[in-house]
Amino acid sequence: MSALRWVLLSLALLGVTLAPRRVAAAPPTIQASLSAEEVEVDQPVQVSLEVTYEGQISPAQPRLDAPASFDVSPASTMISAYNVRINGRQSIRQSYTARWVIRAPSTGRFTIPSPSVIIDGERVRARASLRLNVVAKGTLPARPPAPRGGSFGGLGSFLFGPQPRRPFDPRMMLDDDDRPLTDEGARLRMRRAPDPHVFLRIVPSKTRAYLGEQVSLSYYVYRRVKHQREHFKRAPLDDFVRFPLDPTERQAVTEVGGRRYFVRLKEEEAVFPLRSGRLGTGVLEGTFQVPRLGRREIERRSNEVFIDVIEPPVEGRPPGYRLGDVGRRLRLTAEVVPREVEAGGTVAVSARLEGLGRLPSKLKLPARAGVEWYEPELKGDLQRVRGTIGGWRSFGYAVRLDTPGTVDLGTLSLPYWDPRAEQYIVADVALGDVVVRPVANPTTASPAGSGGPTQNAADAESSPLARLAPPRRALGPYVPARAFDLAPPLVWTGVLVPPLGVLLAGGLWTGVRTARRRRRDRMDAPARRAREALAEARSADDPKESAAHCERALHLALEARTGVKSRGLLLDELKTRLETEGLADAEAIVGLLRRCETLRFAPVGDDAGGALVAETRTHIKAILR
Amino acid sequence: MKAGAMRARAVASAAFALAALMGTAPALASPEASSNAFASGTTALEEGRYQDAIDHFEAYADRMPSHPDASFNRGLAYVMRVERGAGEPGDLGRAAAALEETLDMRADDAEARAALDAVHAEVARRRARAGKDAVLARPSLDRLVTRLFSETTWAALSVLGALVLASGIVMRRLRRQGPLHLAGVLMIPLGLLTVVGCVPLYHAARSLRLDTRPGVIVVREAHLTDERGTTQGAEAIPEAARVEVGARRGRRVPVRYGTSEGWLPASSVRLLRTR
Repeated sequence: MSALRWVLLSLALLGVTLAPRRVAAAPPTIQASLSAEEVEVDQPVQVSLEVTYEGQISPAQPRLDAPASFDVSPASTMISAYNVRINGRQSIRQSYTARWVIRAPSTGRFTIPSPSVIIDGERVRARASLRLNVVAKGTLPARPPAPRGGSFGGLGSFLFGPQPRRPFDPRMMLDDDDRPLTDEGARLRMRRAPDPHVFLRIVPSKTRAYLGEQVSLSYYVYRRVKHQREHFKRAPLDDFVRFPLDPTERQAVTEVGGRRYFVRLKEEEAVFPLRSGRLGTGVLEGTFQVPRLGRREIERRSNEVFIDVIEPPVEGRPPGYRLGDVGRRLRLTAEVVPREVEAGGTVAVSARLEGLGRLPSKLKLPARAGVEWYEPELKGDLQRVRGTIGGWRSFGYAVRLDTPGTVDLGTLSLPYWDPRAEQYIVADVALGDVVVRPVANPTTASPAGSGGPTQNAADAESSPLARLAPPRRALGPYVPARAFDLAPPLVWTGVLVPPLGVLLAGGLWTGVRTARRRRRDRMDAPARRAREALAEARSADDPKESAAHCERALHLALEARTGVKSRGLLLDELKTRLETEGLADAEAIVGLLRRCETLRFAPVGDDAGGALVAETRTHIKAILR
Repeated sequence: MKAGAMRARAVASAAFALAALMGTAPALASPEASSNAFASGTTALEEGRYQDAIDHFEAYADRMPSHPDASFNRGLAYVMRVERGAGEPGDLGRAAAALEETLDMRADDAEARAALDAVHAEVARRRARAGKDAVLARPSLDRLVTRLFSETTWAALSVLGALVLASGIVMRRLRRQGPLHLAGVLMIPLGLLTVVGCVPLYHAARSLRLDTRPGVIVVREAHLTDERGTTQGAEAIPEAARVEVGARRGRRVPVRYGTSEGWLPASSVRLLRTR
């Protein structure tokens, strides 16, 4: 083969190698459109030119060569950018849009040359020209309500392809039309809109999962307005391990609170809970620049999703199961090389685990005397398989064999929980036998190294672990301490009630006693004085004096009983008053008072005083009873 | 006769209900399964199959309630694996965790105490070999005082203080003078001080019980970081050290060791299960 052939072959190979890179850097696409293909004379029509591109090119100087008779407005331009993920490659796709509003002065069929723009110093234009049919005024049927913003194109037209164009609406709001929703749009409907313009939403595939089970999170951007720039801060997902799931963005129209929204799947992730409990995802944060809302950027935070994570059941849990080892259709294969080795030598055990889930990074190793397993070398590849993370993981072990003979390496296994089957499954593989030959010269085969299986005797003896108690063969008596939760309200009750109760009771007791004493004093003052007067009457020698004391005693007793100051009343009035107060023997009392008065001024015999005192005593007792 | 039978049935039902209410802590697994795991683990341990023994004892530990003897054997399995030379990193810490569990459940277990001391001595010996100093962590004063008594004891002391205070008030009021009055005068500040001192300690002990759990370091040494994962530069926590662990956040847990506080990877700490 000649040298020329080799050169040509090399060039061909170089071309093949470089070809995908060229494909990866997508060339700009240019599209031109009219907002309507048929209009009336002098009716405004919007001409749009949209350039979609990646990289550092910057379109400039848009130009529309409309027919000379047309009224053409100056071009308005806009640049927007989107994050796009395709086949795992993330890129920023930008869109340059120029718009003109034209008016035709007369009827006819016009061909408008496609608008052009300068890209990299070269003026380029869309391929197809635009055709406009202009009819006389009043010829066309009345238009439906003015469409709002759907005509602006941008990501909508980019993702959905050409859509019916409508006249430009500066508010750039999504049309509330009655087009039927797609399945995805219907699925993403919401009753209420968290925000009238743009909002973020996280939708989980499930809200209850086992520890280690996959949950898919979809991040959506809902919008009714066009936005130019957006920037996102991912949900923190502190309690989860995350894997990107869906590399392609999708968009649909949905309904939120009775109004139409564009909904865009921004990203999809598979997340695996790291612990049990009610775990929050955190929120997705986004900033948007919405021309309709001014120049400043608006910030939006998504809802937070909570996943109830539970551990697989304890019942039936196989020995060696590690929490979080969850998967489906896990398969374990292994290869042992070589099958024959000298004592103290090592064999390589290459195990491969395949299946769905976040594949565990540790296998259950068989325990054998004289066999030592070193830490494995891990390799793996996890990918998305129809919405589920799965793949393979390999474990490269070095196994040291010390005991000569045929050694059964045992079975390598992985107990895991299958959440779909709701059961524990053990994936295992038998490793087979390895023939361990005795060492020809034992002195050279003496294993060394600290921490090796046969540490030297002196070292073993010096280890504090050498003198431990033997294992226990049976469970001894043990009663778990009863969980006794002394709740704060109970303790506070115990702390506050005794002193406060004593203080309260003391205060109450004092208050009651004071009140009673005051009442008794109020009641008892005249009564006591009545009794004293009676006692003085009894001890008086002179009947006059005795009568005077008796009269005073009676008046005091009446005051104590009724509160009536009887001394100031005429005796006739007193009788009536006492009867009114309910005293039964008012007449007798009044009669007694008359006699006292008589005795004071018309003395009778000495014994009259004694009888008067006795009668007064009887009445006073009755009054004060 | 009929009434007597009904009464007997009622008594039996009440006794059954009481037994159900006062029964031991809820067992999530059958006793048979637990017993089998223990027996299998012990057999494996005696036969030198340490990994199998560990698997069985770990399976036993997953079942509640745990048992001090099962935890002891688990600790022993880890220790023997280390002693055998087949130990994995963190085995001494895991052994210490199992033995700490044993002691938490049965404080007077002398063998477990000795085994735990041996594990700590082995860790210290290995650190010394590696040229590292032994780390001595002293508990802070608040932890020292709070852990003098249990939460229940602090609560009982608080209530007792309240009763002393109340009695003092009563005695002081009952007698205007004399020994009873004097006793009342002394009891009031005594009770007040007890209440003021013990109620916060009760709350601190309760907060410690509810918000933290004991754990043991199961890596060769752990370096505390701040919440963002930046190393704080404090002295590393050695393997098998008992620490106080807060609520896990993501892959990290807040840890307190002596007076040092910080964050560690959750995998470097084994939480103790004592109930």
